[in-house]
Amino acid sequence: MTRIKHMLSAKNAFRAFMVMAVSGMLFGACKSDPNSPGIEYMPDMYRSPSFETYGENEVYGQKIMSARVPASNTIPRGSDNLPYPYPNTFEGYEAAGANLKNPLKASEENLAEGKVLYTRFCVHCHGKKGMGEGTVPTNSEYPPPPSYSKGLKDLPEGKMFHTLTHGKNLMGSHASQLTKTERWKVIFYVQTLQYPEGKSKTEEVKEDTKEQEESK
Amino acid sequence: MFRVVTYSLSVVLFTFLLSNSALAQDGEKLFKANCASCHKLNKKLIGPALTGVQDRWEDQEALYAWIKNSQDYLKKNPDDSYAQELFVEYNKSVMTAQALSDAEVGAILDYIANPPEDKAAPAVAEGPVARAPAENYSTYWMLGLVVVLLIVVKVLSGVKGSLQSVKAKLNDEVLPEPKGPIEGLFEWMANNKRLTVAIVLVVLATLSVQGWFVVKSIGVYKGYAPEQPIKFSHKIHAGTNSIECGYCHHSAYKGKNAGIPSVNVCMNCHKGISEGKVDGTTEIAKIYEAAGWDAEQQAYTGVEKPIKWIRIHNLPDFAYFNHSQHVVVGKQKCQTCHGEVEEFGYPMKQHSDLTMGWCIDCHRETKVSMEGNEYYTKIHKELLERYKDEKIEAFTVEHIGGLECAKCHY
Repeated sequence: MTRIKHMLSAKNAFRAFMVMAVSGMLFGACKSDPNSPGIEYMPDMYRSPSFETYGENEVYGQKIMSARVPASNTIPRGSDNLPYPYPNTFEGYEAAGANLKNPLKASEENLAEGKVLYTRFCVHCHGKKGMGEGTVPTNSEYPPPPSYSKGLKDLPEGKMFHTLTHGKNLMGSHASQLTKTERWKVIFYVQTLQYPEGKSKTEEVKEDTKEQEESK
Repeated sequence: MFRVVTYSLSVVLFTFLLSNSALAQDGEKLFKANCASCHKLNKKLIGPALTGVQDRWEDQEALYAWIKNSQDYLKKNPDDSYAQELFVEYNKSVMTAQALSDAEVGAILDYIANPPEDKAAPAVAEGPVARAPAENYSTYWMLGLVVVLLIVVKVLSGVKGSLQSVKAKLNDEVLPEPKGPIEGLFEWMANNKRLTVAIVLVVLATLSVQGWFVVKSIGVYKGYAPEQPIKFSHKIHAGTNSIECGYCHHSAYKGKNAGIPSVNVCMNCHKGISEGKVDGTTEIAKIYEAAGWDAEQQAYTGVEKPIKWIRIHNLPDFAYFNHSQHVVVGKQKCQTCHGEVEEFGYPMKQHSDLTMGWCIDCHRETKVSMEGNEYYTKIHKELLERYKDEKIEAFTVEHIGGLECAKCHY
């Protein structure tokens, strides 16, 4: 009796093994399709019913994106994104140039962070020296932006901020990528590129603050 | 005397020709350096298309003044209705004052009037090159060959059978009943026991090895490279043009997700770049459709259509992963997990396993740089004390709790 039992279980194990191996072969064939991610053990865990950051979801019987634009006239908690008063017009640009000043302190730290942000967000067009010698215009022969140390040498910081916020000519708005504080940090660094040979406005400000602190 | 005159004449002529061609070249260079970021020859960009600009201005001197400093010109000539209207028509975008001499402006105008031919006619002929489908047909060929061979075997065995029956009829013999294929197989197996065992063993071994690899690949997306709605190439953007990963995936530095860039980020560059070098205008036109950008009018229509990118990297819901933690604090390069993406063309593929074992391996090996980080000062002291006996001085992610279950599963 025990012998029969043993035979049976061995036979079953063999069968199960065969089925697994054969189906494995079949599934293995599916994997070669680059459009299929392959076999998933628990698809529920990978494609969950809860909303993923990017995706189409049914909300109130409507298929919409789960990534939504914030409700109008709202400011996220803790955000520096307060309303920007200068409209995207010629007049707004001029007014920003005349009235808008950098609220941050010109410090080494802000300048260093500005450099990191510049190399991430600006350098591929404006170039390391800010002369429009970035990799996009040079490697792909697209028109270069004007040089900070030549055509844009006297560009006031308010106009820079306005351009970063609304975009200008071929440059698009970088407001979705840089917060207002970050934009001002980038401007600190761009100002050093405006005066590569001598003192930048930032450095002058820095020295002024140093002197003030020392005199205290 | 005559010789001297001809000689000097030819010299003058030669220098004239040389200077003329040099001027035309300069014109192209000057145009590219000073005008091309806002003007195209045949298309509206930020400013108007420039072909025929000299015909549109009656007074050529005024045109020169306008090119050199348009704002100054507007102030001095409030009566020039054409210039004033032009300024308003193009959203009052100020044309940057150009520090150019009359000769240089002339060279640019010459270039605009007589551009080299290949530039005058935009590359219509060299549209997207039809490429041969990259599918691998060898499997189909093999299958076809097998079918043909099977047919041949069937036909030959049929011929053999009929020959045998003819022979039997001639000799008045009675043929044994033909056996079914399965019965025949069993008989053959009974006669060749050793060979049968050997074949079964080989087949089993192959299948189980195959099966093992398949079981191991369950839930591992490595190499997943689905077709995307737009043929975006990381090689062109991050490779050739050296755009930092963080330009588009900027939320990697701030949050859990690295972020699929919204279409306005594409438009930051593609507002001006409407034609690529690989697929011409077809793929970039899809961005315009998504963003609702009218390339003819250079304006947004307001009708947007989201791009349905196919997600590649996907962790199951029971595993928590945060990009900013790894990129900002851990100072990891994107390439550590995603591979040399700047070398990947279209389509993008998953480089790593993204399995738990793979995470753990890295957490065991990666050293934490604790110097100059105030957060770690106290922890570092405690760790030195705790691992005194084992003489460990460089600590990995494992030592600061990188292997604890609840760090990623909660």
